Amino acid sequence: MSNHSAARRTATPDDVFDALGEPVRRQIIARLRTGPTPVGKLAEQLTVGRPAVSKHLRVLEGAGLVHHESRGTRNLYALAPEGLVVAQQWLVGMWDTALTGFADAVVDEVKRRGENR
Amino acid sequence: MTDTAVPSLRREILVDADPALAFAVFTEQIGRWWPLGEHSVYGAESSVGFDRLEVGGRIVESKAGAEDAVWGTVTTWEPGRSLAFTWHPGDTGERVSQVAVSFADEDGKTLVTLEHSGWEVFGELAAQARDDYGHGWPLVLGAYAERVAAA
Repeated sequence: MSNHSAARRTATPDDVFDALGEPVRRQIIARLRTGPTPVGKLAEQLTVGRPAVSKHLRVLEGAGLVHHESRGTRNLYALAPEGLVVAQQWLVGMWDTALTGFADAVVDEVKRRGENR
Repeated sequence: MTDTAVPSLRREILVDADPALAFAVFTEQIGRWWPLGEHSVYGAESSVGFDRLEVGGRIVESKAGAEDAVWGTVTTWEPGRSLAFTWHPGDTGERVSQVAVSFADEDGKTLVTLEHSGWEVFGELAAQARDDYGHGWPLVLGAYAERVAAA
């Protein structure tokens, strides 16, 4: 019997980047690659203590990067890889917007120099 | 533990000017074209520029009454050829990624290629997400090609 965390809100790119900006949270992500893991086991592997691990997990879950499921009395955390797509799309969109603006500025500059000739 | 290296994010655009001019517009005139309204720390009312046009120069966003926001620091400065800088807008610099921009002559036009790397810290998760999203890239490039054709 498993029960996925309910009603995940949509994470923003800021949520994702902020979540990944903290070293312990990146360590948690790395640990979770081996598969769903209970909080207690994560806390054993990290040096920050269980309350801190729980707090970091909540941030990661808020960013859509991990999710948890309850199995009996245990809370297992697992990676939600689709979470990073949000950040990736945002970055691609940012550079495409910026480069399109850059290309327009080049056209303007070429025109301006032509007029001053 | 070593995180798995993942490919950098790569974007290209062909501009109708020689590499020297393209480089100059990219750097000296960044304040004219950067979409501050959408992508900046302080929004459309701010301004952005390179504080020095050389290695060690910083990309700085300024707004009256606010502390300057440093987006990154120049690590390669070869006018008309290549430019590289660290990239950490809105951040004190702990999460540093790298951006490299090359300017290559293509029959009188310039192919500008931008690579954003530093995804390594995200490890396999990033690699997987990147592969998943890879299918969407041709659409983005298609939109760009249409824009160029219409120009």
